[in-house]
Formats: sequence, C-alpha cells, structure tokens
Amino acid sequence: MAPGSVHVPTDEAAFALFLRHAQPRTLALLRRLCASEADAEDVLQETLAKVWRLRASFDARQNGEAWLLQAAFRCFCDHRQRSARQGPTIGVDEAASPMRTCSLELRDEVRHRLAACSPLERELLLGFHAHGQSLRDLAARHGLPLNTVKSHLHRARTRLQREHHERD
Amino acid sequence: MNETEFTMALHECLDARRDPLDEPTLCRHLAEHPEQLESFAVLRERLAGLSEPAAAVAGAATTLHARRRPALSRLYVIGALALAAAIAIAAVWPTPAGPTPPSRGILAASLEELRPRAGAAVSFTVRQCWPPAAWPSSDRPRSGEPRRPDSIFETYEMRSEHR
Repeated sequence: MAPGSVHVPTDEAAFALFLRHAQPRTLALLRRLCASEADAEDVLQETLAKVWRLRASFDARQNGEAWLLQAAFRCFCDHRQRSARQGPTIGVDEAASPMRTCSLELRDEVRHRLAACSPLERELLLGFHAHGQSLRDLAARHGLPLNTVKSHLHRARTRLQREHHERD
Repeated sequence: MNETEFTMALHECLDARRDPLDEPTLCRHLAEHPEQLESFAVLRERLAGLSEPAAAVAGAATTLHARRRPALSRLYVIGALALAAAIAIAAVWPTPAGPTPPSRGILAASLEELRPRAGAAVSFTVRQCWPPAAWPSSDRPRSGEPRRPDSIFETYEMRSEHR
C-alpha cells in the first residue's frame, strides 16, 4: 500500500485540514510500530508539531502523505532512541516482545495469513518465530539444507506481510 | 540500497533474531522510502503477534511442537498450589496449649438518650460492658478509683431536617 499522491497545501488553514485528513493513516502506522497507544499518540503529536514548523520548507511537488509518514518514522526513531537511553521502563518499542498485547484484530490477521501458508512454511514460521527454534534445528528436523529453510522462511514472511486482498 | 537489497537485508536481520529497527542502514532506507514503511510495520507487528495464535493454528499443523517458552501461567498455577498447601497445613497444624485469654466479648449493650437539643431529633449512646479482667492494663482502674466496667464506643445522633 503506497502512500497516495496527496499534495500538501501551502496556506495554514488548508495545511491544518490536510493534517487532519492524513492523521489517521499516520497514527495507524505508529500504532503498528510503537509498543502502546500512548506512545503512538505521543509520537504523532511530535510529528504534527514538527511538520507544522517545517510546513514552509515543504516542496509542493512531493507526495504529502509520504512526507508525513516519513516525518512520523523519523520522530518514532528519535523517540525510540531517547527511550533506550532512559532505560527499559519507558518501552517505546516492545513490538517484538511476546509480552506485547496482541489485539483480536492482529490475531485474526495473523491467523488468516498463516492459513494462506503451506504446511511447511507455517511450521517454519511458527517454529522459528513463535517457538524459538533455530534455523539449524528446523533444517535438521525437516531434512532440508539450511539455505532452503531460509528461502521457505522468507517466502512465509512475505505471505504473512501481505494484505487480505493481495493474492498469495 | 535498492528494494531487493533492503528485502534481503531485512530477512537476514530477522534470521539473526535482530530487530530491524536496530539496524541503521535499514532505518535509513525506510526513512528514505516511506512507501515501504507500512508494509514493513505490518510484517514486524505480525511477526510479534505470531506467538499468540500459535495454539489456534497448532491443530491445523500436523507436527507442531509444544511451546518452549516457559509459560507465565504455569508459574501462577504453581504459586497458587503452594499457597493452597500452606493454608491447608496451617488449618490442621496443632496450636500450642496455654492459658486462654479472657473473653473480650460484649456482655451487654444499651441505648441511652442524650441531651435532646433543638434541631436534633434524638441521639443515642451505645455502651458495652467489659469484665474487669478483660480491661487493658492501661485502662484498669487504680485502687480508690470508681470502677466503671463499661466503655462508650459509639454515639449516634439523628438530626431533624430543616423545614
């Protein structure tokens, strides 16, 4: 899903309107990246403040939504680095942690995408990412060369990444 | 770094169980190519969510192994069993025999009307009577003092409403 070709208006009122329209998509991205809703909202606030300050320097030939997502990602990276310096209690980014709350929607998406995988891909994906098995263990278990296991795993990840409407 | 190189680097990073966001080159690429941000975020989030539906998918997969991760719930169960065992042992453990403390129960209680005033419909005092032996040593009357084996512990007052 590539950001649409929305251009950023130059006057303040129109810019504010643009931000209001582009905000949900930016927040959706940040929700996926951040560990919590509160972190996502904090980073969104930082992003909006930043792009508001920089609105005069925006090149109108650029894609507005892509510009906003880019700014949001940079703010997220800064926020993440700050949190890492402050210690683990802040925890901006715990998306890779199994302790992260898994929403029903996410669980449903994952289940749906796993169903689209072949049995071997599914076993490799779950074996490696859910059960903590090493690539060598998986290769030995399935009697496959290590590189073949990696190729299957990469394909499985690509299937996991696809949206419902995309073809497998 | 083009898109293919990025994809390969991303998978290598995941194969090594590293967080792609800890890799400066990957982060730089993503910042320069915001059109790839959403699909990257989807992959990262779904990989993190993989451990959740593992049990649901386990039935579909034929040779899935039991989860290795020590489940937190197992620790809770063990803790609960230990607590239940401790309570059961404490309940049946013989208590050491000794002098029984004097009873401190309420022997009697009475309601006594106090100083009716204008605006106060009625007020009562509840008194409880204690056997002298049950008095705390600090409250025990000294010789010559009048013995008052009772104590006021509550006063109620009901006020009439303004008209």
